Amino acid sequence: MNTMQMKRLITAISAALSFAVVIISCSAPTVPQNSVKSESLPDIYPDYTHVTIPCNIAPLTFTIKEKGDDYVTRISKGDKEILLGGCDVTPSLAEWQSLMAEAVGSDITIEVYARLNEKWTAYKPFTCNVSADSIDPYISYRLIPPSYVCYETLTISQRNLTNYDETVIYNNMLAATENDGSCINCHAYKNYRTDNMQFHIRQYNGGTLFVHNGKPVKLNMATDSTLSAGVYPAFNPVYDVVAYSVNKTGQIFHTRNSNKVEVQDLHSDVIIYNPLSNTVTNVADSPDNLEVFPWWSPDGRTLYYGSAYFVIEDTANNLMKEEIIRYRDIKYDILRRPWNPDTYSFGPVDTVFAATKLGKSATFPRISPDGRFLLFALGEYGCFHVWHKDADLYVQDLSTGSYWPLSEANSTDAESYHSWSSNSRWILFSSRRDDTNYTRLYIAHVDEDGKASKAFLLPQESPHYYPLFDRSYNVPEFMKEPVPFTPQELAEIVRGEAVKVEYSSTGK
Amino acid sequence: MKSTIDKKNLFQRTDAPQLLMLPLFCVAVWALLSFYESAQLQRIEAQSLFLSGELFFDTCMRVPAGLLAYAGCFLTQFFYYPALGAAIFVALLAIVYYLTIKTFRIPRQWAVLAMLPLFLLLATNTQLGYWIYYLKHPGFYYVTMLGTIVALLAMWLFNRLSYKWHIPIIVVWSALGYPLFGAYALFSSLCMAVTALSMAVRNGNKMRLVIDGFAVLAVALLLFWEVPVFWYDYYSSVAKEFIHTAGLPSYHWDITADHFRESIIPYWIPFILLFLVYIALSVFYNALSSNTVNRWLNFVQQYALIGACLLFGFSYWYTNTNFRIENKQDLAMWEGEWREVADLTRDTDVPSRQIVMNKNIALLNLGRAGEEMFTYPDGSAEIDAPMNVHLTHTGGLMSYWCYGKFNFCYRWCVENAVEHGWKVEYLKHAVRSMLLQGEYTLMRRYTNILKHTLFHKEWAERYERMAEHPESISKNPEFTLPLAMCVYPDALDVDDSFIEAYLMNNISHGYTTEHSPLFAEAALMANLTRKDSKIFWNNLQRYLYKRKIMRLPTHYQEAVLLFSNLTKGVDISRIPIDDAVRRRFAAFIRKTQFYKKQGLKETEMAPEFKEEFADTYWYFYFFVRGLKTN
Repeated sequence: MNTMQMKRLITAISAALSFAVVIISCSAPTVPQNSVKSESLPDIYPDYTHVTIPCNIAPLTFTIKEKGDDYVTRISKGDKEILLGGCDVTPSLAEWQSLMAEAVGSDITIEVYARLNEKWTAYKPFTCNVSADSIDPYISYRLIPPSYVCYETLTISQRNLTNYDETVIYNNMLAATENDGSCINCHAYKNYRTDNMQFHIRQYNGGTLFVHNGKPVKLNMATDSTLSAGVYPAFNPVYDVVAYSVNKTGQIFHTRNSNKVEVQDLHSDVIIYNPLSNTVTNVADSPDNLEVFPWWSPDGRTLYYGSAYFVIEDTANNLMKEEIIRYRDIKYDILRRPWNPDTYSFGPVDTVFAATKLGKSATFPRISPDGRFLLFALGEYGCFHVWHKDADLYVQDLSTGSYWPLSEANSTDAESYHSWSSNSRWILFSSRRDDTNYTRLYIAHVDEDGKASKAFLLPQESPHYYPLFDRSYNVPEFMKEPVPFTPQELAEIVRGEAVKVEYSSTGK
Repeated sequence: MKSTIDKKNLFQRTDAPQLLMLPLFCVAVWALLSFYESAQLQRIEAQSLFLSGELFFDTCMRVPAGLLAYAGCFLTQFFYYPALGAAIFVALLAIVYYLTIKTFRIPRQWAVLAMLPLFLLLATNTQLGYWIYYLKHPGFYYVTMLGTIVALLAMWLFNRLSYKWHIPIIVVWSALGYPLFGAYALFSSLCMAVTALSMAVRNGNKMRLVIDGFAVLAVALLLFWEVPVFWYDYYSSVAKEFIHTAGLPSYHWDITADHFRESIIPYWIPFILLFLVYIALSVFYNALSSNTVNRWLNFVQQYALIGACLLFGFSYWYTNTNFRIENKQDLAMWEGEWREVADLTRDTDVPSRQIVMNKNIALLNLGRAGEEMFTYPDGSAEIDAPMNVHLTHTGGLMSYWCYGKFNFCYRWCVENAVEHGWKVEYLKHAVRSMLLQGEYTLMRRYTNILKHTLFHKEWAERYERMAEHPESISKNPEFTLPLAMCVYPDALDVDDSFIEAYLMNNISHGYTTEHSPLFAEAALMANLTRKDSKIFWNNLQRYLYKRKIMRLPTHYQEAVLLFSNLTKGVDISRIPIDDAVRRRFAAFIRKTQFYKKQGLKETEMAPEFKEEFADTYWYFYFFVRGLKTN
């Protein structure tokens, strides 16, 4: 054997030994035979104990926060199981999907074992109910730091709920410069599809990127007869119109309150936009009322919106100061007006939910696609409940008028920006419950009686993602399909000239 | 022969500059950075952030040249220990020197040319000043250096391969180097092409001139333009306008702006010169003769070059006194070294408003405001920077925290983080604010992030321990002033980005539920700063009631005499005033009347009063005028 052969032999032996070490160290975990049972649930983040999940959701990953030197987790349904070692529980997509298929309509059981000082503890097992109600495969949201006035990089992103894929729909930096920044907001879709959708670009290259029947265009929706360009949008699910609130909005800051900031409307109305005639029309423009957050009924014949009666009472010398002093007096009811698609005319106003009679404020009405429930955020005052810790989600049965809080889904912190899945069985919303300042997305099942199950945090590939992620999730919306345009394609349109929208008193 | 040369006096040798200059340069730069710029380096570290874990890496990599930003952030954190950080910085400069020599085969006699990039790289950082708050470019202190090193390595490889490999190398390097190293990959490809062209010209073979000269240059130019265009579709966060400059610092790019030519272009000069030096070295690749025709001429040439570099280096070293004081004060404030904070104010003739605010906070902490507040230089020096520098971006967060405005301090942490990314300084302010606000869950979010840093883990854990024992917080002397100032009801308010004006107005008007002794004094101080006679007596009354003092401090006595003189009908007979203060005030009045009779205006009187009365409130009231806060 010459030197070269000797070297090769030594290399081969070393490689084999290394491989063996790796194999041994990576050996599959086994459930500890001798463990002490604990009566307490394991401390895990995110908290996925006893939640109801859709059968097509991406694997729930979590980290075990219990002290330990080693961990074993068994996720099982009948004979099928996933065994995982380590404190980070990250099932593979294939294993998870296989287990989900087995567990549809029933529970999966999750058992956590932790070893500390050679002693294994078996924590109280918990279950996750795998609902047969599937969830729309995509959601979209705006990722924004929990900012107040400043903005820099913002994205409207889309996420495939069946796995962890996230892509950018649009990034504001694609058509902005350091000196000329732009804000993007208010993405919305018609019937969960992306061939009719929109979002706004504010300031530099401003306008509304509007996709009508698959064709994107930039609109300038400001007219002399309306308060502002369109703000909060709502596509009519049946007819070719979009309702917008138009707002003169301001932000002002709490000097001590942990709510931190108030977003207030000095003035706000509701308009509708007709993409066929490229015109807007005022719907609700009472000077003493602040109207905001429009939403259509599933048949497209009723427009819901929030409305607050607020007039100056000489406590200050202008409306802005009055609103600052009396900000707790601004309370919204939820109103509705019938709409005739043939004449484009609106009928009389009807109060759906009189929050002011309860001394509270209700905003962000969202009707379930089956037309049964009105979902809204209820807080003590104001319209921008995403900054109000007392804001909770409520539903009202539109057939009976009775209403109740979604107690299982709510938390002690702010809940808002909610939306219904297309099958009316899931709600998606923003909550600040994790750290009180960054909104995270939670999903909760709502049964046929309007009762919500415990909400679960949108799963990520790494359970350590959220604590370090410095963006809030705004305005989550369900989608049945991803947006078909690339961010660069949209940027080209954003850079172009905007098509001017005209005012029409008839709406046609 | 060799040994004979070696035995010569070092200063007589033709290669003495390169033998001496690198070690001298490295030692000098290290010493300057470690000692002279120590506070600035620590501020740069505080204005940066590097986190362990995949998310931070992924975030950096979302833009072209992300790897440079990531590595730059990693290295910047070592400025936490300025001497260590400076040593790393200097070591990298030495690597640039070595690679420049090796890459361009620079003979010993001309090795001083390799010093040029070092001066230019140094200048890209020493010129920064207030840009450290405004550059939206993570790891900016190291990005240019690392980009240069990577570019040199690529050029070194290029120069060692046969010319047949030139086009493939440029194609691969441009295409794959761009996402990792941005513009540095593109510029180095141009240098490679220039080297190839230069060698082809010298080779004299026409075919090679076409294939290895013009063709390579054409490919490099084409790739310079097309590679970023190709990658543009893969990055959703960079506008088209900026894809070719990825990795370069974001000094305002708007060349149409009025101030661009005179204010911004100078910042680009070191970068442009750096590129031109390497282009020149590429032209003369392997062409500089190692034979010295005239030893003395070569000697003079080299020292002249170094002299020019030194002049350039000095002219690009930002030495603004107020900027340096602000940085030192900030460090001292974090350490609670209040006497040092106040004393630093004396190092300038005309302080910035931040320095004055810091000094007043220090004196408030020391309980010396009434005796010393107006004995320091005062004013509102214009900020020496091409951009509008706001306290909201510099020291205003500290002011808010010290004055107990925790929500506003936190708000600006978040606002600044939105524009410039989270930095250690913002995270620490957020932690301290939310701790004293009692929002421990939110505080833990930020301590958790700090625990992913190399040097701030212990600090974060210390604050977490405090949150676990909230009863201990009020006993901590670090929090005495902010907690004493946090005695006001919640209200909706806005500062319009003018922190000093907001604080002085808010505090002097006493928007408080209960006047703590410290708040009462702060209100009186703010009142005197605002020269507001209308609210003075109320503030004085509260101060006297709360402080329960034996003797009214000198400045407050001065204010009593002044405002009673200006506001007729106020009875001050029960306020004890020192005879010395009365006599001095009488002298001040006499002198004022004397100069008035002579027809002097206030601005003309100021120098006449300075020697005798510059340490009085009266001087501040009448002669320190036109203060502009930022």
